[in-house]
Amino acid sequence: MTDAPPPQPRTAMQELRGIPVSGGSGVGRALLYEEAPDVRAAAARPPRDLEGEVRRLHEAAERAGADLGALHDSLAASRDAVAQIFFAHRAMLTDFLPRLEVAIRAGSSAEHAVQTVIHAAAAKIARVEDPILSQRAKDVIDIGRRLHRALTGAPAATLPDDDADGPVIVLASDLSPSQAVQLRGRNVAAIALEQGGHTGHAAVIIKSLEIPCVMGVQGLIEASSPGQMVWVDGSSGQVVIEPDAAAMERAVDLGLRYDRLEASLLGESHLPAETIDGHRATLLANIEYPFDVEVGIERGAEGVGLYRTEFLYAGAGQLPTEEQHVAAYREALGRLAGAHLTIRTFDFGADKESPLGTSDPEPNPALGVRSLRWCFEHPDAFRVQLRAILRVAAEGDVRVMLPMVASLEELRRARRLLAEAAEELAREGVAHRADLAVGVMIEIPAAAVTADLLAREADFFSIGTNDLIQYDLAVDRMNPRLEPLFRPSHPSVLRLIERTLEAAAEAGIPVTMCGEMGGQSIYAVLLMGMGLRQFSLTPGYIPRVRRLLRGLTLLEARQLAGECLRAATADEVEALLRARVTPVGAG
Amino acid sequence: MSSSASSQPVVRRVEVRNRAGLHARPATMLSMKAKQFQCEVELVLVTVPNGHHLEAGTRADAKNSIELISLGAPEGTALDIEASGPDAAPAVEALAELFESRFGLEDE
Repeated sequence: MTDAPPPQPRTAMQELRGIPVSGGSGVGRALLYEEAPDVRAAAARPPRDLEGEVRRLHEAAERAGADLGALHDSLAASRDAVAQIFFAHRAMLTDFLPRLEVAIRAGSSAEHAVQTVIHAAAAKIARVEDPILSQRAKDVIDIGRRLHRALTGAPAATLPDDDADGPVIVLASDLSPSQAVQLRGRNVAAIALEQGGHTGHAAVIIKSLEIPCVMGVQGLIEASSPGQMVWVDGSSGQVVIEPDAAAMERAVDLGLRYDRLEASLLGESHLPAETIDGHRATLLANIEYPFDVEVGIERGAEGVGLYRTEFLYAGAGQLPTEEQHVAAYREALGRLAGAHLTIRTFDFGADKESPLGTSDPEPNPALGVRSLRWCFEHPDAFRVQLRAILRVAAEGDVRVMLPMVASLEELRRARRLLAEAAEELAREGVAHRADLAVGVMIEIPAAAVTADLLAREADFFSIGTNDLIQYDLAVDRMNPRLEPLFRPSHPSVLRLIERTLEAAAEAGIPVTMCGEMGGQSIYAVLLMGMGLRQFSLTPGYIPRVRRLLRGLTLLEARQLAGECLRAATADEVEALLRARVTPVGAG
Repeated sequence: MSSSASSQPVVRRVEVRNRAGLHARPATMLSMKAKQFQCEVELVLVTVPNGHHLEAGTRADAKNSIELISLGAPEGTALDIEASGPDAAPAVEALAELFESRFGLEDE
């Protein structure tokens, strides 16, 4: 060895461990993702024109805010939790402006103000003891960088276009939410980070992008160099640099298994959800935004079983107009290309705040003025929605669904309001359809118990399991301490569902389940056996439920359902399901 | 209405019930709600759960998300909402409701 030998590519396999954050396995070439260096030097120069500098700040903030707004909108369709992160960023950006203005007026350039004010705020948050809260410092720094870029016109540090010739593994010390979201649509096989953990916003984003990821990998950057082969197993937390032949084989096997499952599930989207002995179920999609329809259709949804209309209010703080309702419903209907659209009327209250605010805080909002009760208290707002639904019903297969019905009187009252709205439209000569199907959500035990009475006057039922379980078992679903008690398998819940299905069959009306229980594949088998034939699911669940139903006979599902209904405890029910149903992708 | 409404601050004690504490989204929801009112509203730290060393009496402008996040209030923190101004009472109620409803966020 003489002086300064050129760095040799390391060839020995190195195995590192971190926190498994996002499942799946990925192999590719290492790509180091580095933040562009801060431009400090020019920043400190005091501005000549204070007012001009303040104006520059506001203009930059507007551009950065518009970017965040666009980012939010582009994500809102399918990734609401992620979209909310950037919504929060935008609000935080606005709240920085007064302090930044003060700093500029004290003689700073806008860039310098951004750097000092935002770094000071981030440092303060980073000192917070609570580990989850101190993670928010990263969000603040991310906002600062965004604003800085808007001021200087510097491009965002982007992922190099190296991913054109094969998948890459992104290695970084850390990723900000803005950087993580850039990985969308790129050829990224997996991500490994030295820092971070489950609770950061970057983790939320990466999970939603379904990129395998391991965080908190100590010594990662030191151990790797660009271009090396890397294998990341996001399910076990393992990161292998330069895997040897045996490890590579394991990696490829594992990756193939995940990929094959996803690809083969999607490849079945055109197949009917039919049991081996030929009994068909209909799979529908739950949507929040009109453009969610696409995700459902891609997975073979045959219509929309639950369109949550609360989004029309999201952040608006005021009531949408009839035309806004019509435009949204029409868009969803158009994307469905002939398939049916079930619109649920406003479901405000409890965990979803009313846009009009509430003058009286309720001691127990879950049992308070929510959903249909709220609509009855706000007949004007309700009428606007009903008119819009009636109008769009003239243009396609539209059905309306009433949430939180507890009694026949409520169904009758809603029908009366619907008829009044139709008469109004008729008088005005506006095209509409007055005789659209009106369904009742079965989500209060009273409705399930009196399902035979409701079935006489409802055109269909839709079982909302989240609330049904909450009210049946008296378990607040927002209370994490009670999570173990929130059990779809409780014999009482099963009996309420059974009763609802029986009453509907007797009356000859269809039943859909739009709650999350239908999407947990083991319950889908049980529900099929109990007689449910329409499942309205979060689009992502559709392929797995289809696969599961296609792999069994109705006879075995019925036998299983019979045994579950005779079981005395939730534990027994779950043991039966575990023993007899293999979830898709397991084993 | 009573004339004391504008001179005496309206105070209500609330508790952070979100598992992740008063993090980014709750803080921005609070600040956006607070901005709908004219009155001045502040949050004041009262007590924090064991093991945390935050200073009682620390104040944050409820209309500013950054100040709210900087409080670093974990689950179980007791806070006073203090408002003074013409619409102080409805403001306090609206903010308290957000705390009580866990900001409508199912904790992730």
